[in-house]
Amino acid sequence: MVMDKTPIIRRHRRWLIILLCFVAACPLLADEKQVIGWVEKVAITDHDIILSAKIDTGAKHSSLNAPDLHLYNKKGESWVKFSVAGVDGRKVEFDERVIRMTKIKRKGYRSQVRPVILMKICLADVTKDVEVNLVDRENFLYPMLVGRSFLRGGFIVDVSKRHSTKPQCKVSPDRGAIAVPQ
Amino acid sequence: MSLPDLGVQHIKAKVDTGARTSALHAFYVHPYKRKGELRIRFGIHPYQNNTTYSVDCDAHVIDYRKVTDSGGHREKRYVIATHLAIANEVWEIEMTLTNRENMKFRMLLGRTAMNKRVIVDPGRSYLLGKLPKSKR
Repeated sequence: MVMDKTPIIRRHRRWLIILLCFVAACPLLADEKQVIGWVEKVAITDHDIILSAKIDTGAKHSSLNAPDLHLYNKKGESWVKFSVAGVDGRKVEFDERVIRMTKIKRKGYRSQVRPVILMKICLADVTKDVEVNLVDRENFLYPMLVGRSFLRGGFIVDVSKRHSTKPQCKVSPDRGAIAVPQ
Repeated sequence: MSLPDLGVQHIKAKVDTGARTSALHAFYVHPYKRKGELRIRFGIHPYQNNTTYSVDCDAHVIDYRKVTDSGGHREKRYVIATHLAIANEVWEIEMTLTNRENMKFRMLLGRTAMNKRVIVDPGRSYLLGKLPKSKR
């Protein structure tokens, strides 16, 4: 029996090598990540709004520009009201529970305390609930920054591209169909 | 990665698609003129959390321009051109000099330097290897 095996392996060596290559390539195929540019449209699915976002691998978490944010107390919990204008110019009001306050360390400035909320964000065909910190900032080119906590595991960023995807999430749970520009 | 023109063998950089230009922290900058050419001497601490080891650099200034930082504030920075070596690739990038002493990373690799050269996987780090602990 043992004597037999060697010639078989030798005879089929070419096929074995091809099979081995295929097996070795499998994890690479399964690991396929979506390639995106450094500016992409994202949808905040449960608020029917689409924003232009800068894809920022330098930021741990995502952040949203909310120049008119207003913190208040509701039944002992901290809540925040603010409005955001989408790419279509429509303003959408938000009223969200603050899950915590976060300290942002920035070069050359005193660290800043920002409210953090949970948001369902959709980029290409990926939807995730992520923490988003709110910043009251005027001169800001993109209303949203998408950080690593959203991007991790699902995306590859190619800085030579912009607007290479569209948010593909069709339905927001409590508001029915979302208008996705095709 | 390394910056061969500046004599920096190893430096850890944050790969930042949110930044247009790359930045290098310098703990001093001395611009001067040589034969009518604007040059700059500066010092860097390439290793994180290590301010005893430093490298003194000298480079030609290609620009002195306003850069908007992450806080939306503008500041004028010296810009130099230097070669960057990652894995087996070497190419020239523009780098602004800034004081990043209080930040974790001594270098930021921005979009202009990465354009059509590299793509970024935000879920992973040290893909091209890490310096052995003894050398850090």
